[in-house]
Amino acid sequence: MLYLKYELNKPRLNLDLDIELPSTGVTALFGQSGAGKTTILRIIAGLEPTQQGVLRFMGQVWQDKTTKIFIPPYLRKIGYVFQEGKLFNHLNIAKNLSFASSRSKIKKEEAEVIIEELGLKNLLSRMPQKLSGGEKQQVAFARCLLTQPDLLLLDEPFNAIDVYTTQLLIECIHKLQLPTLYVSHDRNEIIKIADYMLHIHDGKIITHGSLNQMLPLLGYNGFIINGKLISSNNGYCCYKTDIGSISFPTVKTPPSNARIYVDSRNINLYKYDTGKLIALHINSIKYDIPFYCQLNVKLANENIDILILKEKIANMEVHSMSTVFIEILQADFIGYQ
Amino acid sequence: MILNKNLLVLTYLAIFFTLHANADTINIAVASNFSQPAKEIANRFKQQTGSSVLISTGASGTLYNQIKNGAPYTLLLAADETTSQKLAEEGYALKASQFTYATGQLVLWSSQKNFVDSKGRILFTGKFHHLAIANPKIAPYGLAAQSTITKLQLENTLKDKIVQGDNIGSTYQYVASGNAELGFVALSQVYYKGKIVSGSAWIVPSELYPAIKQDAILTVSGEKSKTAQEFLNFLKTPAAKEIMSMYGYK
Amino acid sequence: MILSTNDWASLWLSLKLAAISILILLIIAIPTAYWLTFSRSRYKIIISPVFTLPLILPPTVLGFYLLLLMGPQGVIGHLCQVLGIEQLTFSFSGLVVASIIYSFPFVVLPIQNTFSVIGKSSLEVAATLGAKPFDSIINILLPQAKIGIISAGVIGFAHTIGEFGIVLMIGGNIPGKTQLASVQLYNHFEAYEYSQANHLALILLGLSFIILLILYMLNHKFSHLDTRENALSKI
Repeated sequence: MLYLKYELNKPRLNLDLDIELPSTGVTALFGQSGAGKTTILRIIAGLEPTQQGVLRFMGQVWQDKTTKIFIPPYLRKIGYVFQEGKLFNHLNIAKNLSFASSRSKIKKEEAEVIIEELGLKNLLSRMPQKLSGGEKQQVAFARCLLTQPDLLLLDEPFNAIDVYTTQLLIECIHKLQLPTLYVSHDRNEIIKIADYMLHIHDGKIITHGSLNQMLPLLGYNGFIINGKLISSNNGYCCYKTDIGSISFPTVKTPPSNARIYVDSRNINLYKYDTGKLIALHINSIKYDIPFYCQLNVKLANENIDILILKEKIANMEVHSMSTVFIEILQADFIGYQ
Repeated sequence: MILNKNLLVLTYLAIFFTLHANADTINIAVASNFSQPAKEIANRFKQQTGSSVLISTGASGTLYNQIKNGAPYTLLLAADETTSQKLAEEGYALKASQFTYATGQLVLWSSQKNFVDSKGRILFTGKFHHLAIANPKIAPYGLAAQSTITKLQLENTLKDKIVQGDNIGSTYQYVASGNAELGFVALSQVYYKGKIVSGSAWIVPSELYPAIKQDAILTVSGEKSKTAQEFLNFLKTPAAKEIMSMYGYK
Repeated sequence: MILSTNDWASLWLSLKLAAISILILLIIAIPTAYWLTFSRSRYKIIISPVFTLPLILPPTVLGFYLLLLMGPQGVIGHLCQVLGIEQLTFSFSGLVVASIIYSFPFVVLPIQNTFSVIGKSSLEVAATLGAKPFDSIINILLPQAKIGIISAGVIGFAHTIGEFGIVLMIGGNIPGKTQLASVQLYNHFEAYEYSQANHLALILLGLSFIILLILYMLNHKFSHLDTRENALSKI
C-alpha cells in the first residue's frame, strides 16, 4: 500500500530507506530514539522540506524527485497524531475539532459518532490547557479522524498517558481498520496493536516482518493470535482462532474478541493428536542453542520461530517437515477487549 | 666633527617650537551660510599666525543655545545681529566686541540653467510647484525672503508654493536637489569669484529686504584667549574682506 | 493653554501620520515577517540586513537619501512623474512613505520574533488537517501572534510620532501638511518661544506615556488570558 524510497543526509541522521508496507492493519516502526522513526512519518506526511526519492500510497504518487512531483501535506489524506497531541491552544476543544471537520467532507452525524466514541462530549467547551495529557491525546485522535484520512500516522501517541486512555485509543484503532503506521520504542504497546513491524536502526531498516515473525526481536518467545470467544465456564475460556479452537484458564471475564499471546513455556508438545490438540507443522529444527531447540513452524499462514526446551521433545522423534500437536496450558490477553 | 643624529633632531624640534611658541587652537561657532568663507579665512589665519581654528557650523539659534549651555566656543560668527546681541545681554558674550563682520546678500536661485531670469520675473509667472525659503522665524535669510515676497506683493499668489527649510543649508539642499525648482538662498552659497557657479539666479536688490548684518562677538570663554581676539581682528583685514567678497559678501 | 492653531494642527498631523503609516506598515510587515521566519530561501541572508538598515542608519542619512531619491532626478521622483503622482517631497504622502521606511524594522522585527517563538509546529498540524497555507496563517498563526502584532503596531506608532530628522529634511515645514508636532516643537525652540515649546513638549510627553501605558496593559491582559476561561468558552 505504501512504497517509500528515500535518501536523506541530515546532520544527525542519514536515511536510506526502501520500504513497502502491507495494505491492511497496523504497521509498527520500532527502534531506538534518534533512529529516524519520526523523520519517516514526517516524510510520509510531506512535512520534510527536502524532496527526495519516491513515495507512493495506494498507487497515487505523493512525491517523485525525478518528475518533480510533490503533493503538499494538506492534499495528502493523512491523519497524523503527534507526540503530545499538539492541540491549538488558542481554540477550545469544540473549535479544535471543528477546524478539522469543516475542512473535510465528513457528515455531521459521523462526526458526532467519533466524538461520542472517544468520550469527548463533556470536554467541548474547555480550553486545551485545562485538559490532562490523556484527554488531550483523545482530542488529537478525534481531530485527525474527523478529516476522514486514508492513512493514519501515529507518533508514539501513548507516551505519558494513562492506561485507560491508551486502551480506549487502541480499541479505536482496531475498529477503524485504517492502514496505520505506528511509531514506538515500547515493546508492550507494539504487541497490543501491531500486525506488521519494521525495525529501524541508524536510518536503515534492519529487518521487517509480521508481528509473530518479529516477536523474538521484541523479546518474546511464543506467538500471538486473534480469537473469538466460543464459551466460558468454570474459570476456563474457549476461543475460535485461525489455528483452531483453544482453551485455557482465566481469572478475568474473557472478552468476546481477544488478542491472545501464547508463550512457548506454556505449550506442551505431543507426537499424536488426542482430538483436542492443535496441529503444528514443523518446517525446520535447529539444535545449536543450549537448552533450547529453535523450531520454525507454520502457524496459520505464516512461518515463525519459537524456542522450545529440548527436554520437551526429548523422547519424540521430531524432525523437519513433520507435524506435532500442541496443548496450550496458559495464555494472556493483550490489547483490546 | 661627527654629526650626532640625535642632536640634529633636538635642534629641529627647538626651532619648530620656537616658531610656534604662540600657536594656539581655538574653537569657533560659525553660522552655516558663512562656513565656506570661514574655512578659507581660517586657513589664511593659520598660515599667518600658526594658530588653528576649529569651526563648528549650525543655525544661529542652535549655536546660541549651545553657547548658553557651556559649549567651548571662543567666538560666534552669527548670521544676524540679534543672536550676538542676546548673548551679550544675557551675559555670555562681550558687548564691546560685537561688530558686523559681513553683510549677506539674498539671491533667488535655481539649479536649472535659464530658469531664473536676471530680473526675477519667474516669481510673477508662478510657473513652478515649490519655492524654498529658510524658516523666517529662525533664519535671517528666511526673514529677508519673506520681506522680499511681501514687498513684491506676491504673498497670496506664492502662499501655497512655499516650503521652508529649517536653516539656509537645508533650504539650499531643497533647491540643489531639484525638489524645489527655485528658492531664496544666501548668495555665498551659489557665488564664487564674481560668478554664479551653477544654475540660474537673480540677485535680489537690497531695498527689498532689511540688511542681513552678520555680527561677530567674543564669548566669555573667548575673553581669555588672545588668539580668539586676534582672529576677530583678522576678520577686519583686507585679506579677510577679499575672501568674503569672493563669496558674495559685502 | 497657549498653544496656537498651528500647534494643534501639528499634533493632529502627527497622530494622523502615525495612524496611517502603521496601518499600511502592518499590512506589509506581516507577510514580510512570515517570509523571514518560515522561508528557506537563500536570499534571506542578503535581504534581512537590508530590512534592518533603517534601524541603524541616522535619520539624517535616510532623510538625505530620500530627498535625492524623491527629487526630480531620483528614482522615486521619476516613478512619480511617470505615474502622474505629485512629487513626494514636501507632501504628506512623502512623509507616509518615509515613515514606512523609517519604522519598518521596528514593526517587522517584533512580529518576526513572535512568529519564530510560535514556530511552525502548529502550522504543520494544521496542514495535516487539510488546511492550505493561507488558511493556516489566518486561522492558526495570526490569532496566536495577536499580542506581538499589536505590540509591534504600538511601537511603530510611537516611533513615527517621534520622527524628526527625516521630516525636517524632506517635509518643508508646511502647516497642515508636513509640519508635524516634533518639527513644530523645534521651530518654537529655535525661535526662542520657550513656553510654547514647553507646552507642546508636555503634550507629546503625555501622549508617549499613554501609548506606553496601553502597551503594558495589553501585555498584562493577554498574559492572563488562560485563566479567563469563562469569557472564551463558546461552542
